[in-house]
Amino acid sequence: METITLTINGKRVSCLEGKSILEAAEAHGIKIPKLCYHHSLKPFGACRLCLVEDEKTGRLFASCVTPAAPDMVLLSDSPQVLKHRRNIISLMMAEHPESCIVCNKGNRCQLRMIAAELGIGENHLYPMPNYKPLEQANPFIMRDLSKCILCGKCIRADHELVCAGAIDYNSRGFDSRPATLHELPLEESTCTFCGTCVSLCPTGALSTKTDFAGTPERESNSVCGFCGIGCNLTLGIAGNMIVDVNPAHIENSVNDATLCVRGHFGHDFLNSTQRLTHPLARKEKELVPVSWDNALETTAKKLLEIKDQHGPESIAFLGSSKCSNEENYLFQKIARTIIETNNVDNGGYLSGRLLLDLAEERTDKAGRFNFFAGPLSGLEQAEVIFVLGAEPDQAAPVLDYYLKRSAKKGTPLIVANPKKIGLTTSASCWIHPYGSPKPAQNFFDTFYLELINLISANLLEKNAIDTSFISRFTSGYEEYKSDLLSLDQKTSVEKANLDSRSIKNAAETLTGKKITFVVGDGLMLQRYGKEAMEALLNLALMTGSIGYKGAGFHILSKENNLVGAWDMGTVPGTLPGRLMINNENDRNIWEKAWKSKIPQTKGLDLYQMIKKAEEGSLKAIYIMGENPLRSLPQPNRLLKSFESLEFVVAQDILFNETVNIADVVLPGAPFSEKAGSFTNMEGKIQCFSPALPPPKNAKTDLEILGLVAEKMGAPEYKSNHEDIRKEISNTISAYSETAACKHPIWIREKNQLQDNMAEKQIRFSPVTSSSETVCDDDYPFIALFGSTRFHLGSGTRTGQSERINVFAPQGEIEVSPVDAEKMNLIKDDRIKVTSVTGELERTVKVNSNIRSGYIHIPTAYNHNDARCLIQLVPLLDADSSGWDSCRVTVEKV
Amino acid sequence: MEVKILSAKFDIEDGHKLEIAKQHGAYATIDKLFSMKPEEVIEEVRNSGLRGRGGAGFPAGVKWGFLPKGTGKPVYLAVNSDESEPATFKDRYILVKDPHMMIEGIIICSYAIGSHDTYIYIRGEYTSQVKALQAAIDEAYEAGYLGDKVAGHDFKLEVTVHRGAGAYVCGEETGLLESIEGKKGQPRAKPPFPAVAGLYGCPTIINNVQSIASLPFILEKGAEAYKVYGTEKSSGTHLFGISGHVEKPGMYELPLGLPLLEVVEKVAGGVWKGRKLKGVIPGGSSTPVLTPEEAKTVTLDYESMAEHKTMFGSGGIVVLDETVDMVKLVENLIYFYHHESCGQCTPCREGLGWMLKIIKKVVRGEGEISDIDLLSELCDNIEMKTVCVLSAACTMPVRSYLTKFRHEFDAYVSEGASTAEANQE
Ligand SMILES: Cc1cc2nc3c(=O)[nH]c(=O)nc-3n(C[C@H](O)[C@H](O)[C@H](O)COP(=O)(O)O)c2cc1C
Ligand code: SF4
Ligand code: SF4
Ligand code: SF4
Ligand code: SF4
Ligand code: FES
Repeated sequence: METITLTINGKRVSCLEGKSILEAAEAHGIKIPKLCYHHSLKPFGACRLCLVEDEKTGRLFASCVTPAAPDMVLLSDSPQVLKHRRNIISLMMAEHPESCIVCNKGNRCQLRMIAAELGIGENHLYPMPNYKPLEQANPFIMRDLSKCILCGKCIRADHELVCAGAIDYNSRGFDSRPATLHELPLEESTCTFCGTCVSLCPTGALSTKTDFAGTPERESNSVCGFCGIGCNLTLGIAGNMIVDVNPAHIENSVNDATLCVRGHFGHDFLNSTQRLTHPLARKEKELVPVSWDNALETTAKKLLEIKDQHGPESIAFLGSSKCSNEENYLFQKIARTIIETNNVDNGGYLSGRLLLDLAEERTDKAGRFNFFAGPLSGLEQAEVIFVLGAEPDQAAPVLDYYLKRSAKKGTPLIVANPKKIGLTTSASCWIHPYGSPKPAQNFFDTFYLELINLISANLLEKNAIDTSFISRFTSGYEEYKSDLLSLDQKTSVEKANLDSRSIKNAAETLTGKKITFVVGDGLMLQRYGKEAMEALLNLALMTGSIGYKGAGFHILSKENNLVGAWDMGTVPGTLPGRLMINNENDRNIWEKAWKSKIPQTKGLDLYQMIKKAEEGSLKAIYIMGENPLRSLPQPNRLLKSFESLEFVVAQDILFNETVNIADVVLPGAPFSEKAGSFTNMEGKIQCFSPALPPPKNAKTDLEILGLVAEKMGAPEYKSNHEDIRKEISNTISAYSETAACKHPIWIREKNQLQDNMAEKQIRFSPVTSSSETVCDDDYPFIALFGSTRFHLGSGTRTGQSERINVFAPQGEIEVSPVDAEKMNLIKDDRIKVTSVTGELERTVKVNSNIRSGYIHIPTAYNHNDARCLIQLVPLLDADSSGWDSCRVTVEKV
Repeated sequence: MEVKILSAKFDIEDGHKLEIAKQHGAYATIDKLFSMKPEEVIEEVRNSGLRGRGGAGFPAGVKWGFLPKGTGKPVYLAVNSDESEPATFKDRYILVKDPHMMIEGIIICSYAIGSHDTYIYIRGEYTSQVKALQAAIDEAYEAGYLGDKVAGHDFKLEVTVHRGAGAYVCGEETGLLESIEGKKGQPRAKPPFPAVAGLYGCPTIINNVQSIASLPFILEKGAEAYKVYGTEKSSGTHLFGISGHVEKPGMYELPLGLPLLEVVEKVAGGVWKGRKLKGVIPGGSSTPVLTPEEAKTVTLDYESMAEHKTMFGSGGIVVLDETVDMVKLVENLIYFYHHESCGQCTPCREGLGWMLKIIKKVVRGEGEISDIDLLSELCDNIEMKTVCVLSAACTMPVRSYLTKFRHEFDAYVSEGASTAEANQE
């Protein structure tokens, strides 16, 4: 593209061809007032405020929609321009209600700011207010459309950025307003309460519903602490409270102007009364406040005592997929070098981290290939997208926006999910099991594995493979090919109750394209999750979909630092930088850095920790930032196992189920109160600084860990996040930029395939098929579990959000219309759901998206009671029934 | 004075039916068309000097030439039959009386521009017209003039009728495209122009019904034959709708270039009831008014209208006799455009609301002289500062009344409403 030069206000400016005058001006520091323009929205040219004058002809252009042309000579504030700009603002003010003093947009209102800049006060136009009723029925968004200046940003955001289709223009001319279909309340529309429109609205027409009146004292940028997208936030602070959250609007950040309902409105949990603000210790069965010194002393002494008495293997460390990279690093270092155990894991165990390991082992380790697809923005250039077992509109809404935007542009999208998810309406093909589950046959387990096998076989039959990729970078193809060709397709189809037409359809759509996979819990937490993942990797190899532009895998991560905790070695088998414990060379690297021996064998994972506690050989556990008693299956079994431990330390920010049984409680700090970095699902490390100090006696987690180490006799472990970043990057070169981390940076730069030709090849793994599962006739229904967009994970944090509790308090179980009729159920009836391991009672809602024989149970509600239905069996075990669905009975109560 | 080119079949009984129309020459140009190269067709139309009949008068052949080549995207043709400008009633005759002439025109245009999909955007209120049009399209499909092989030639053409929902602004070409795409009809910022990125982002040509219907004659008889009519820069004939205070209002086909007053006298029977002429709206409500003095010298063509600081517009001539209250006329005018503003840009949405508020105040007899000044100031503030020219379609004529008939507005202020009104009688 060519660079062109033009003159604005006598200044020569240059820009790329195709840029608007406004963009050219702004890039050169020339400010032009604007109300309807936003860098992430298609220019629209409605407010007409950004007028500039062509000096040669005297013509006026709206600079946001007029392309810069060579040799233009423009004035951005000539008398004519100013006159018209004032006129426009006067017209807007004439229509505007006189409520500035009590408006919550306060000093952030752009209309008011521009009016002040242009010196517009009293107006020669009579007021012409356009009153509309104030809408504030939901706890998130307040709409006062009397203040609307029709900049159209909300509507464009809703259509172009989040693709919700909740609002559009209504009426015309003076009566025109953004509105939902039939002007129903927002709550009855398809609005997801992402609040993207709210943060873009220049006036008080859309604002966050809040008790706080006025403008925050200051703002501080941060990173959302909920899901793995890692949205960039701006926190508004007044006093010692976060009163407002908005997207940070950083161009080229993962979310730019968007957020989801949790990130935008759920952070009020940070001000919850359940925040831990003082160290506690158990005295005669009660948790009572103690001094920091006392709490730290007890922790250190008890752990060292147990180590002496029962050996290092009797102690376990549960780190956190929610805590920062630096904290996880120090945490596992303490475990490995002071306690001398590899019994380290984190909450990521619950969302398929084991499969990340597996995929990494197959690809990255094989020759430094990278199976990660890289930045999510690549989705908009993908050739074809295949979404398996993920429910992005609920679990990671910003990912859903990417997918919908891409589909809107015409990228073919295949969705495999037994549930009709938000994305299926945008999909070119939806693969799901047909019919209702038959008794004694659990075709649902086998769904993903069989459909992947079938699609692969179809592609192979059509010879839709990437032969050059296969020959250059893989081995074992011939074997794989013959295995796949001998697959008994008919049985596969029957086993999983698939429709061979939709399989053909999907194969047709994938033919000749590099595939971008989006994989979620639904696939990974299945009984055949591992096999399905292997099959998917085979498919990726066969089609050459690894290491190619936007192609490869996006593993949906529900936790903000799932990838970071893994990278930092808060896992039993790997050291920071994903160096392997059982590899001597790898181990030596860290032994040298830490000047300390590291135990040679892989430690216990979370499940094994529980098992060992039950068996009595595990004596103590140190839990940082996790609430296993609410997040793991069979919480009662867990409670018993934890209660049998001699010593439990819980370092957390909220009073929760796990804290409740701890012997020592150390009050830590959330992301908003400390410095650190998170690694999002793209693999991007994003740094943040504190917006506030921790409340009362709470401390940052890094400080706490340092103090614990000091009490254990290692004062040199005390350090701040910067020192730790240096320590990591001195050893792992990929992290070297972290040391100087001011801006988000990449650790997983894409490897060029050519560079790796000489390296090891990736093996195809054998084709596996599911075996017939016989299940109990007594449990005729399949319960599918799923998160809702209002809650994250177990709901420990979002459950403390007042707004979310007001809006979505129930978590109704969804049943199909057919089953509802059979059981004589109507909305709000209560049902009892029983599985082999437990039972629960909730109200129901009939949903035509659910097929007969299935019920859908939202997780996180009601202390996450859904978990009691699931059996705590390790995921990859042959007798595991998976964690994402189970067989149940349903009765009306 | 009248000629019969476009209206040749209007008086024939059942001339809208394919069979009858064919007896009178419908679709006779098709074979010739396919013997030509598309560029030759464009050249012929360019040579004919045919200008767009939707109001702006842009040369049709030149517009077609703006289509980018080799984009790999489909090219669309949209036929504008929204005909909603007050005082305009010409396209409806074509739709009802000789739809096949337009369909033939569509085939010619589509072949020339390489388009295989036409959308006819028809005004929502045209309920009987849409039936007539659809019936003709069905006949044309049946007879093989539309569909996979146009008249047996290797050329595919689909024609779809899209009905509007009653918004004047959807006659604006990009508002029209938005509306076809299923969105609210809000004009788009230009550039990009539709020829580059129009319907669904693809190159699109938008032409008025009458522009399209003029093509068969040009192709059959040639550009030179067309240029026999009209003036050098305004060639051909036009369907004029003459309404208002004349003895014989109606639709007349005339060559361009005739003196306005002569046409009013000779064709429309002169000002009715022997009254005096007060003014003439030359080409639809959005064109600036002409005083009787100006009317004396103006001729019905693009150049003369421009010389008289008004516009040829859509050929909707409104004759105003001495009894017309210009203040109320302006109120009516502003009311219409305010009502029809799509509302996306501030100056038009708020500004027209403002003008309406002021003119109403004046009409009520509560106005002040400063209000009338404010009205013209608002005109300046709005005009050409908006996305589309709907706002200018209001401010341009309003300004003409304010300057040419200022005393009437002043009278409403100084003498009060009832006297001013009475004085008009
Ligand atoms: C507010 C507005 C309304 C319009 N309405 C019509 C209409 O009803 N019919 C029409 O043919 N053109 C209408 N136009 C003109 C069209 O924008 C466009 O210029 C025309 O359809 C092009 O066709 P032509 O080149 O054949 O004249 C309107 C323009 C504006 C600004
Ligand atoms: S909150 Fe989000 S979904 Fe709802 S209207 Fe606004 S942009 Fe659309
Ligand atoms: S509600 Fe706000 S964002 Fe939406 S159009 Fe009105 S002023 Fe703009
Ligand atoms: S929860 Fe996830 S998608 Fe929502 S704002 Fe936070 S990081 Fe973004
Ligand atoms: S000028 Fe009026 S009608 Fe045209 S786009 Fe603007 S608001 Fe809409
Ligand atoms: S910012 Fe350009 S018109 Fe609104």
